[in-house]
Amino acid sequence: MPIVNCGRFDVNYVEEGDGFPIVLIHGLAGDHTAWLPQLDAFGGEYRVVAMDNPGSGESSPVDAPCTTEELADTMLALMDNLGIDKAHVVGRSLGGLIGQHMALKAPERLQSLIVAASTPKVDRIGKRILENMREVLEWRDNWADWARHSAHVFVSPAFYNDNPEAMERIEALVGNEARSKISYVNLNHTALTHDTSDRLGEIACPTLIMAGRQDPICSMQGTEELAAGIPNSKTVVFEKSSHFFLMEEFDKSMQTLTDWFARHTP
Amino acid sequence: MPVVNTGRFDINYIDEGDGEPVVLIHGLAGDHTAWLPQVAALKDRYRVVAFDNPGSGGSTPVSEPAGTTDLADATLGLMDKLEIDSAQIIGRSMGGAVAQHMALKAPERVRSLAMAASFARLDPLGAQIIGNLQQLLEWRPSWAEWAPHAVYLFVSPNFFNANPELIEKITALVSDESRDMVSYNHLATACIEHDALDRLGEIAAPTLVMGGRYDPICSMTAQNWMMEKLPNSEFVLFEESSHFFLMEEAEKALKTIEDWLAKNAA
Repeated sequence: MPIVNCGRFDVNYVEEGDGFPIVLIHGLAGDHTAWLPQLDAFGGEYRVVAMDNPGSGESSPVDAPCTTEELADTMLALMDNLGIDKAHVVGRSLGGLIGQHMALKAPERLQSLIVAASTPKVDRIGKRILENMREVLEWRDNWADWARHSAHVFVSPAFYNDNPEAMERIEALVGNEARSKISYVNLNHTALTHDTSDRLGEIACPTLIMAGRQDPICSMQGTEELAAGIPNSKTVVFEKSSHFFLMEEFDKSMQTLTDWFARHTP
Repeated sequence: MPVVNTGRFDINYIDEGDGEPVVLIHGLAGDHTAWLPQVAALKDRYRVVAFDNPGSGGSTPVSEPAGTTDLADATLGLMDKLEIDSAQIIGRSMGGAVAQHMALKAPERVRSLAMAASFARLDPLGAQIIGNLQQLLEWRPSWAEWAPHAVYLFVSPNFFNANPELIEKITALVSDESRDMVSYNHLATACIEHDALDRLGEIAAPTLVMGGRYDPICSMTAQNWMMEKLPNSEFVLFEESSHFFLMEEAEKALKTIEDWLAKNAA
C-alpha cells in the first residue's frame, strides 16, 4: 500500500477501480480494512479510495491533540495527492465528523456527503461512552480488556446474541494490541471536541445521513440534529441496528449506498 | 423499618395497605426504595410488601455465595413471617429470577407472577455485561468509578440525553460507597448462574413478561426465550425504554401492573 505525505500526517491508502471517485473515511477504532466490502462492491464502477486515518493502521500516529478540522485538511490533501478534484465522501462515526468539515471547508470538492453513525456534536450518552472507553484503556493499558468492555455498544443486543462468531472477530480486531494507544486517546478527544451544530446550514452538497436506531454512541438525537440542520439531506434509519449498521444490516446499507451513488454521480 | 429473620438472612421490609397481598422484589443494584412509587400507587387497594434483598439495604449481607433459589427461600420465609399464604409477586431484573424459583418451589403461594426486565437465563450479551460490571469493581473497588460504566446501560439513549438531572441522581445513588461489594459480587454471580429456562413450563400461575426494547442486560433475546417456555403468559414491550422502563415509561408501566393485579385478584 502506498503512503503519501498530507501535511502533518503521512497517510496510507488503498485504491480500487476507475470511474467517479468515492473517498471512504473510517471511524475511531478502525482502519481502512473496515471498508473492504465497499471497496469490493463499488471498485468496479467507481474509483474508490480508502485510507488509514492518522493514528490508525500504517498512517502517522496522532501523538498530540488534533481536531476534526485538521483531519479534514489531511483528507483534502490526500485528494490533492491523488489528483481527485471532486468525490463522494463517505464517513462513518469519526469519519463522518471529518466529512462534515470537508464539506464546510471545500464545498466544491464534494459531489455528495454520506455520513454513517455520525453527529454534529457528541451528545451526553455518547460522551459518557467515549469517556468510559478511554478510562478502561487508561486503567488497563491493553486492548483486549478494552475490546471486551466496548464491543457491546457497537451492535444491537439481537446482533450480539445471534452472531457469536462475528462478535469474536470484532473483539479480536479491536483488541489488536498493535493499535496506538496515544493516538486513540487523542482521537477520542478529537471526537468529543467536534461541534458543527451552528454550521450545518452551510453544508450545501446533497447529504445522506444514515443512523442506527439503537446506537448509543451516535444516538438518534445527533441524527435528528443533522437532518434538521443540513438543508439538502436525506435520512435513512436502520431500525434493527446500533453503531455498526453497515455490517448489522449489510444488504440494506449497501443498497442504500448503491442507489445514492447512482442518483448523485454526474 | 422492621427486620425479621427468614433463616439464613435477616430481611428489612415495609408492609403497607390492606387487601390482597402483593410482594415486590427488586434487582441486583437496588434496594426496597426502588419500589416506592409502586408502593404508593398500590397500597390503597392491596397489602404491599417491599423489602431489601439479602445483600442490599438493611438486610443481611451476602458474604458467601448464594443462588437465586436461596433468595427465593428468603422471600418465602418473609411471607411466612408476615403470614401471607399467597400473593401476586412482581420482580424486576434479578427479582424476577428469584420469583421464578418461588413459583417452582411453592406454586400454591404464587397467585400470579409479573417480571420486569428479567430473565430465566441471561443471554450472551446480558452475561457479558454483568461479568464486565463485576470485573470493573475488581479493577477499581470504588462505586463512584463503577457508576458511570453502569448507568448508561440502564436507560435508553433518548432518556439519558433528555434527563441529565435524573441521570446524575441515579449515578449518585449507585455511587454510594456504603454498598457492600462482596454481596454485589455474589449476587452478580447468582444472576449469571441463574438458569430456570428449561423449568418455566412447570409454572402454571399466570405470568406477565415486560421488556424494554433498548435493554442490553435483559434484551429481547432473553424475553423471547421466556415467552417460548411459559405456558400461561403475556408480553408487554416498552418501545422507548431500556432496563429501567418502570421509570422511563412510568405511567404505562404502572397502568400495566395495575391492570395485571386487578385481572389476577381473587
